[in-house]
Amino acid sequence: MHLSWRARLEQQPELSEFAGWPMIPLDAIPRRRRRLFVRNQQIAAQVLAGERLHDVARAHAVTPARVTQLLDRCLGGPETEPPMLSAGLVPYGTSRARQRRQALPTQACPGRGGPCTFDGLLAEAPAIRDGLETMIRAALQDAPYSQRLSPQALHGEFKRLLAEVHWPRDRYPYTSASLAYYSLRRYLRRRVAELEQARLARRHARPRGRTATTGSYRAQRATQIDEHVLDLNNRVHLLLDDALIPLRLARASVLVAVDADTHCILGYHLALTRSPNQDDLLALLDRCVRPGAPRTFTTPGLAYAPGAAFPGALAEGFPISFGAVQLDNALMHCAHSVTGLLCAQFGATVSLGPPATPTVRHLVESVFDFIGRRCTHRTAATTGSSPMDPQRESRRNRKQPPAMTLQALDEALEVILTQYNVTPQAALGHATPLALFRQHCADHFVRFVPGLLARQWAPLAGSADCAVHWYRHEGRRPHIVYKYARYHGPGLAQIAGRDQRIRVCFDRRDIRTLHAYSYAGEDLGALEVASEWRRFPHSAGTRCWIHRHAREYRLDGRDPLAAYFRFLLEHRGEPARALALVRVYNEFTAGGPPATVLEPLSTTPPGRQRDPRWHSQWAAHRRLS
Amino acid sequence: MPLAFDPRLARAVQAEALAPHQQPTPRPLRTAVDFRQQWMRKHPYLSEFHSRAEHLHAALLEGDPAVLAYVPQPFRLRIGVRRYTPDCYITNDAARRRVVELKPDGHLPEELRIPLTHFFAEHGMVFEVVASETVFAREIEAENWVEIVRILHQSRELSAPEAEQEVRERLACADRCSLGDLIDPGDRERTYMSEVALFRLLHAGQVTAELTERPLDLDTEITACI
Repeated sequence: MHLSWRARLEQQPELSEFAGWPMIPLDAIPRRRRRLFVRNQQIAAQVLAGERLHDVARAHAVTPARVTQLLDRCLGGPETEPPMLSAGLVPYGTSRARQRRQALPTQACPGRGGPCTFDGLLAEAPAIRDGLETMIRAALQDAPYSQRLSPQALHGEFKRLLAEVHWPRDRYPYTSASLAYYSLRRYLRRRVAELEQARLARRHARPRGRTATTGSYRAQRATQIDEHVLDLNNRVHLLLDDALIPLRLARASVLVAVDADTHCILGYHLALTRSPNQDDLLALLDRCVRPGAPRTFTTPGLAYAPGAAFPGALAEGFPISFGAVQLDNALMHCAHSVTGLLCAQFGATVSLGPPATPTVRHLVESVFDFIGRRCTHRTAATTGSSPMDPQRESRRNRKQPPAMTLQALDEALEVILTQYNVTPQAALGHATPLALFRQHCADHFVRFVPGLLARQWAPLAGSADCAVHWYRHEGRRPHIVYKYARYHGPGLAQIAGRDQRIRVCFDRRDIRTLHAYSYAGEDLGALEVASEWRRFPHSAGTRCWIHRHAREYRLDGRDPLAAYFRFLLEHRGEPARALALVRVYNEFTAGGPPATVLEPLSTTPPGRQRDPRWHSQWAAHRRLS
Repeated sequence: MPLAFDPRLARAVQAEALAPHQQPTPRPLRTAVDFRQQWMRKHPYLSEFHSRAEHLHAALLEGDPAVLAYVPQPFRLRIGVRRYTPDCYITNDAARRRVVELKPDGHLPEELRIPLTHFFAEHGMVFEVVASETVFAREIEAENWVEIVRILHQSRELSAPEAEQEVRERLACADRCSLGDLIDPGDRERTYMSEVALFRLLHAGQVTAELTERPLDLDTEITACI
């Protein structure tokens, strides 16, 4: 039975004490509705205190009917359900599903329609509700017998169901000219949205990674890694012929590793390319396990927040290791160098996750959103969603767009990502990620890596198997070929003619020198690359790019590295080439003093230089008969 | 009721080879499933799993002392025109070799299950369909074993026979012992070898731990097997 507010007070007189009603904090109400909420509280309190309805209504400039309606919201309702009390005073708040209490309109008594008429019809005829539900579900599940879901099709089904249940021809919906078409359309949209949400909730509720049942929240249990193109144009100032030239750069990418349970950012890497490769991911892992000392910022106004740091750089220094590493299906994540390092060396689990479900790694995506809000989307030169993004630079600034220098961007990322680690989060019970990480490492069992093992971890050290070539009939030195270039070394003379393959180890940032080992474990010493590739440190990616494009761009084969740099310099007006120029410059100088990249080569062609350490007869005793 | 062996049904299945080797996962399948990789102990190679249930199932096998070894994705079979790769091949110390398929609700269509049962019976193996739900019911235990396997793999090159003997003696003397009693949370470096020794004994089945109810922690109880 439905109770009015007076009937409820007769049944439960203790509710007449307004002070005993649950309190709703004012902060929980939207700011523009707080005044109405306070007024409603005063009305309810005064009526419950025994003042006359008319006096209260006059005092608050409302009608007495409005006062009754308000009290009915708070105290009225079905007898079997508890009253809403304070929740009923929230303006425009609906915490209870509305339902029709009046009879449905008929031809004899059309009435005014009233609220929830269509829901009332469905409540009276469950067969119609079931029929509509079946049709909607079939369409959403893409069942073979389903109809295309449209309001018109559903309305046709609705009319058929009405006839099927012999619905009286003088009752609603036959009393309305549209036969409840618009109500049905609204019902359809609501149900589709509800079912879609339920499907998504089921999909996300599947046991993946951590589940609610295990409760295994632990630092270093799982790490989420992803990369993101920064929606920001950068610039560098190029010093050329004593002139400072500002260069507009294409968008760079940032790679971030986040601890999934403590939300602590383990490290980041700014990759000067739109499409990072495996070397960038390995550089990120290297920064996580070997964080450098705190940086000295050159950008004015930038400084670390108090106590802000990445966990690997903490004074107590709990070593960083990897448990389950959650990645997406990008090609670079499937590289053997990456899975080999994570699984074979770190013992981690690589989880590529279900396809097309980035929400599995929601935390790292939220960090990218944090970077956007705090850093990259704050300048007017942002083109976040599309070139027509209203946040792009103005017409006036288009030729000289406001852009952040690359160094300022790198420093800003360092500041905001370390600041993220010391920002309290509601999801962590208002603890900071770094404090939670420390607490887990100190008070719980977290995987530990002793210094002996941690020192052996070298993410940027690569290795490969190479065939040994020896053109003995030409009297030439034995050599190996790695990434389209020949390598020579005195160690190869020991095994030439004996071993067909060797193993080489190298630093991925500089592949000019390889260290060779025989399969038996014999140290064969260093192997030097052919002289045309010796001038600057370079990575395998750079050499492969030059090899692929040398003919197309007519790069000089005698000094391909300098030729590549000159090519980029000539095309510095293109932002993508300018970004590659900065990346190549950093690679060639290897963080050291600026190299004389543009200095001409010596007059002797590098290919003609002879190695005084080699004589063709040295390996003669190895020749096979 | 067990099915009577029918050689006609067994011949419906064809195998390239019946030596259990992990079949490489093609790239399209890697991106279509919840693909996972980990270096395990009883399958000492880079093991590939096509779902979380398979990964947790392998972890439970790691914790079962009766299981000597297992191979994920062991054979490539053909049933009619259909290709089929079972999920796991398990070698036990006493029982017959088992070939396991993990399915939600343990449901495998009859047109696959019956020929496969006869085919593996012909070759001296038992074919089982395990419900994924039974694996998820032991999720905490499996997650604990995944973590232990990670630690064991990480420390695979360290030799700790003295530390193992020391842990055995301590457990024999103590009535009740927890993980926090064996390792020093304030100086993990010093007690790291004891930690490794304990997990090696646990993996070998010489020591038991309470891993089924709660995640591995400092208060996890350890007892020596008698």
